[in-house]
Amino acid sequence: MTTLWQDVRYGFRMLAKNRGFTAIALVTLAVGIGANTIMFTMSDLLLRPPTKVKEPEQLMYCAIQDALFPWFRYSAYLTLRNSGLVFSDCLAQGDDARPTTLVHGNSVGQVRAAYVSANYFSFLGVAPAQGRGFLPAEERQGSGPVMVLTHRTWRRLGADPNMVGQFLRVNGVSCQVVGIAPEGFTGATFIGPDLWLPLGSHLAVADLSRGRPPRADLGPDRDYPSVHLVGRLQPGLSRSAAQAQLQALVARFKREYPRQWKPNSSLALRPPGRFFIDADVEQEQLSATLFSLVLMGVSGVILLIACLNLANMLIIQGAARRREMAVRMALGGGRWRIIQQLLVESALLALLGGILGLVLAFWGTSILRAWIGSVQDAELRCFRPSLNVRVLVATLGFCLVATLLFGLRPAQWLSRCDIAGEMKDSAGGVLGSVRRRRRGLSMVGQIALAVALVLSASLLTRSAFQLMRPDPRFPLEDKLVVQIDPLSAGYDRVRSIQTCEALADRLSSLPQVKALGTSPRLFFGGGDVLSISECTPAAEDGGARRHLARWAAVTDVGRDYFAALEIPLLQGRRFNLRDGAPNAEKVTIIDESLARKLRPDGNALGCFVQYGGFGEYSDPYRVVGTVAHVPGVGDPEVHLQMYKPAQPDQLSPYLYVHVANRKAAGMLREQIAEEIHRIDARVPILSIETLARIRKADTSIWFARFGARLALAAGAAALFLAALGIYAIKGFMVVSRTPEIGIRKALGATHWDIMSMVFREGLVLTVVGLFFGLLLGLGVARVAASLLYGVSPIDPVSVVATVVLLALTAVLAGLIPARRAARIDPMAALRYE
Amino acid sequence: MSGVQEALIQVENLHRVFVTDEVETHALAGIHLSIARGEYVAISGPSGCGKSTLMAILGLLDTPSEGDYWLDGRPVASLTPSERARIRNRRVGFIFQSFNLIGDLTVHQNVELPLLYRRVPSAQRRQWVQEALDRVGMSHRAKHYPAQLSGGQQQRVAAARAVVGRPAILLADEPTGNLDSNSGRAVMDMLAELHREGTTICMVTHDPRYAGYAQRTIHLFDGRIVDDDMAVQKPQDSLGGTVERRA
Repeated sequence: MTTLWQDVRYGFRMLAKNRGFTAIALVTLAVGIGANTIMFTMSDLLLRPPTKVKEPEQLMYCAIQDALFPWFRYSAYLTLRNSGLVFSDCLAQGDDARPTTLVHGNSVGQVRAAYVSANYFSFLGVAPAQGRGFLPAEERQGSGPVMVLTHRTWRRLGADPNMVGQFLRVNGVSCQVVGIAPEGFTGATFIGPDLWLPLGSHLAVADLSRGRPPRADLGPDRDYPSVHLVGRLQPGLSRSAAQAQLQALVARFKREYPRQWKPNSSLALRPPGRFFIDADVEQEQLSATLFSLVLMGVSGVILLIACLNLANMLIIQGAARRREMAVRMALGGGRWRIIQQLLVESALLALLGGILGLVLAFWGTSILRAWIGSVQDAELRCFRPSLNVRVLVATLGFCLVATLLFGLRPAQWLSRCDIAGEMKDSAGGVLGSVRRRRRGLSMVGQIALAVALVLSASLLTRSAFQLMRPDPRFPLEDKLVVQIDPLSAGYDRVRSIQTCEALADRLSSLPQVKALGTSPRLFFGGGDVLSISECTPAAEDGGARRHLARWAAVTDVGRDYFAALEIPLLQGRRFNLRDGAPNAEKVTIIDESLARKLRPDGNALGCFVQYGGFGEYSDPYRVVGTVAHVPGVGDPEVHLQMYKPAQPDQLSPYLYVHVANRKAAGMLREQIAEEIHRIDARVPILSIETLARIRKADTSIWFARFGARLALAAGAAALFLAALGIYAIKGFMVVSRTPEIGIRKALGATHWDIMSMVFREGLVLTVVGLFFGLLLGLGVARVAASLLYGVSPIDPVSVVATVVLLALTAVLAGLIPARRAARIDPMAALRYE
Repeated sequence: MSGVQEALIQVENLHRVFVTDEVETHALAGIHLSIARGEYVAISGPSGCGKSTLMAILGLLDTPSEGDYWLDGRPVASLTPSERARIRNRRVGFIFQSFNLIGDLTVHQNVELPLLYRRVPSAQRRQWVQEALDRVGMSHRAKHYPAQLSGGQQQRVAAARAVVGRPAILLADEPTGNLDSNSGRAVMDMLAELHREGTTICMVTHDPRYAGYAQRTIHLFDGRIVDDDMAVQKPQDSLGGTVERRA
C-alpha cells in the first residue's frame, strides 16, 4: 500500500513536471472518455426500464393476436380484471392518438392525453408528488372530469405550487387537476403522455368535445375508449401457465365481440414495450440495442483514437525515461514493479481525464437535452439524458479501459530496457527516433478512423440537408397555416364551423392573401395508413376491386386549397361548391402518381377509387381531376394521394393562406391573430406558422438533424483528436529528433528544407491514413445506406469534403511542430546531443 | 588588409559570452586567428577552454558576441540564416566527435544529404557520393545503415559526408573522441590524406598525439589563444612519429 501511495505521489509529480504533455493527454482523454460517457448516457436511456415504476419486470402486457384490431373493449377489461384469472391486478390504458388542446390561463398548447383506469398509479406503485391519483368512481362515465399532470407539463405551465385543485380546459372541457406525478415518471412505458385522465372522462373530453357522438353499435362500451391491458401475474404463476389459463376467456370474447375477434384470434402475454406499450418488446430491445451498439461503437472509435494518441505520446516520452527506468532496474526494481509504477501514472492520467470527461459529458448531455427539448413530437421529449450512478460507474470503467489501452504497451516496452546499454554514456554515433515505424502505423490508424467518422458525419449531414430542402416546385415560405380550436372554446360543432367559416371569409378578403384553402387536418405530403383501390361504381355491393396501395393519403379540402398551396392542376377540374353538397356525386381529385397507377398514361379521369382501413371501405369516388404529387418529408416512397371536397358540416380548423408577399408573412401572422381575436377572442389559436417552419419541425427532419448533429459531434471529436495526435506526435518527434535536425542544419539545410521534411513525413502518413479511412468509411456507408436520404453512399461531395478537411487538419496540426523544427538552433541541438 | 583577403579564415577580437541564470561565461575572450587555404590546424586545450565554441563560430553554427569574422574574405556578421545555411552547405564540412549519422538513412543517403540541400542533380550527386565514399574507403558499405558499422567506419562515413560537397574548409570537432586508438589513427590518417589532396582542415583535439598531425597547433586557455605553434610534420606516421617544430 505504501508503495502504491509512493507511486501515486511520484505520478502526480511527473504529471506536474511535464505540463505540456499532461495538458494534451488530459484533453485527449477528456474527449475520448467524455464522448463515451455521453453515448453511454444515451444507451442507458434507451435500454433501462421506465423510471419510478415498482418492479417493472413483473409487468405483463396482454395482447390480442390475429383480431381485426388489437385493443380491448372496456367491458372486456372488466371481464378479465374481475375474473381473478392470471393477474393479481391489471390496468387499462387508452391512448388518444389525436392531439388534445390544453388551455391554462393564456397558455394554449397541444398535448398528448392518456385515459387510464382508476388503479393506474397504485398499480404502477407510484404516488403522485402532489395531490392524489384517481378514485374508482372517476373511472365511471359521468363523474366530473379530473386529471393528473406529468411533472414536465406542470413545470411547463409555470410550476404553480397551488396547481392541484385548479381547473384547466382540456379540449374545451373544464377538468380539475387532482395530482402532479413525480418527476421522471412517464407511466408504464418510457414514452409517456403529458397528462392522464380517468377512462370515464373519455366520452366528454375526447369525443363529445370534438363533435364525435358515441358509437351506438358498441353498446355499453360506447362511453369508453378501447384500451391496452397490463397486469401483474399472480404470485408463483409462470408466464406460460398464465397464458394457457387466459385462453379460457378467448371463447367468451369471441362470442361477445364477433366483429373484432376472428376464429383464430387468441390472447398472449409478453412484457410491455419500453417505448410503446403494445410494441414487441424483443423487437424494441433489438432496435434499441443495435442503436446503442452503433452509438457505443462510434464513441469506442473515438476512445481508441484517443488511446492510440496517448500510447504514442507515452512511448515517445518514455524514450526520454529509459535511462531513469534503467537506473531503477539497476537499483533492484523488478519488471513488474516498473510496470506497476507506469500503470499507476497512466491510471492517474485516465482518472483525471475521466473527471474532465464527466464535465464534458455533463455539458454534452445538457446540449442533448436542449436538442431533444426542441422536437415537436411531445413523445420524444420524454427522453431526458442525464448523468446517474450507472453512468459514473461506466465512466470509471472507461478510465480503466483507457489505462490498459494506452498505458500497458508503453509500460511493457519501458520495463524491458537494456540496463547496461542505457547506463552507458549516450554518446552513440547514430541519431534515430524511437519506434518511428510503429508510431507511423498508429498515426495511420487514427487518421483512418477519423476519416471514417468524418465521412460518415459528412454523409449524414448531406442527407439531413437533402431532407430539409423542400421540393423547389412547392414553395413553403409564403404559405401560412392557421390552426384554431373553436371546440376548445366550448362551442358546439355548428358554432365551431361557423367560426371557422367567418374567419376564412375575413382572411380571404385581406389584400395580402392571394388564396385561402381549408382542411380538417394538417397535410403537406406523404402518406397515411389507408389503402386505395380502383373499383367499379357498384364495388360496395361486392363489385370488382383492384388494390392499388396500402399506404395512401386521403385529405378533405375546402375553398381554394389547391390554389392556396400552389398544387398545379394537371388534368380535369378543381372542386366546385356543388361537389361539397350533401347529396352530390362523390368526386375526387387524385395526384399524378395515383393517376399513373390507375392508367399507365396518367389519364385517369372518370375512374372510380375507394379508400379504406381495417376491412372497411368508403363509397366509390369518381376522379374529376389530377394534380401534381406533393412529396412527403423524409420519405423516399411515393405515396398515392387523394383529395375529397370537405362537407359543409365538416369542421375545418386548418386554414392554408397563400401570402402575396413572402416577406410580409411575419406581419400577416400578427394581423391574422388580431383578426381571430376580433372575430372571437375566446377561440384558442394553436399555431400560425409558415409551412416551411412546420416542415422544418417535422419529426423525421428532426431525427435526421439530430443524427447529423451527433455524427458531426463524433466526427469533430475524431478530427480534433487526430489533429491533437498529429500535433503531439510530430511535436514529440521533433523534440526527439532535435540533434538530427541540428545536424541537418549544420549540413546546410534551410528553414524550408526542415519544414518540408517534417511535412513530407506527415504527408505520407496522412495520405495512407486517408486512403484506408475512405475505404473504411465507404464500406460503413454502404452497409448503412438505408439511413441516407437523397445521397449516395459513395457521395463525391462528402468524399472530397472529408479529404480536404483531413488534409487541412493534418497541415495545420503539423504546422507548429514544423515551424518549431525549422527554428531549432543547430548549435543548441548539438549541445543537446 | 591584404592578409585578411588571402586567408581562408580570419577572425579578430572574437568574444563569445553565454548568459545563464545571471551567470556570464566568457567562452571566448578576444581571439585573433587567421587560417590560410590548404592549412591543417589543430586547436587544443583543456576542457571548457572554448575550443568547440570557436569551432561552432568558424562553422557558422554560432555567432560571436563581439568581434569580426571573415570567411574567404567575406564578413559573415551580416548574413541571414538562409545565407549562413547556404555557406555551411557549400563552404564548410563538419566532422563531429559523435559522428552524428542519421540512423534511418543508409550510408549513401547520409553522405548524399548535403548535396540534396544544395539541389545537386541526381546523376552528379551519385557520382560525388561515390567519389567521397571511395576517398574514405567505404564504397562497399554504401547500402548499409550506420548501426551496422563500427565506430571507425561511422566516422569515415561522417568524413565522407563532410567532404562530399567539396567544402573550402573541413571542421573536425574531436573526430577521434569516441574511437579506440586503432580506429582513431585510421581516421587521422584519412584526414591527413584529405589534407594532402588540398583540403583545409581545422581540427579540435585535446590529444597531443593527434594534434601532431596538423601543420599548426593553436592552444586555447580560458577563451584566449595562449600558443600558436607552426609545425613541420616529417613522416606521416602519426603516433610516435617525429615532429619538428618550426616556431
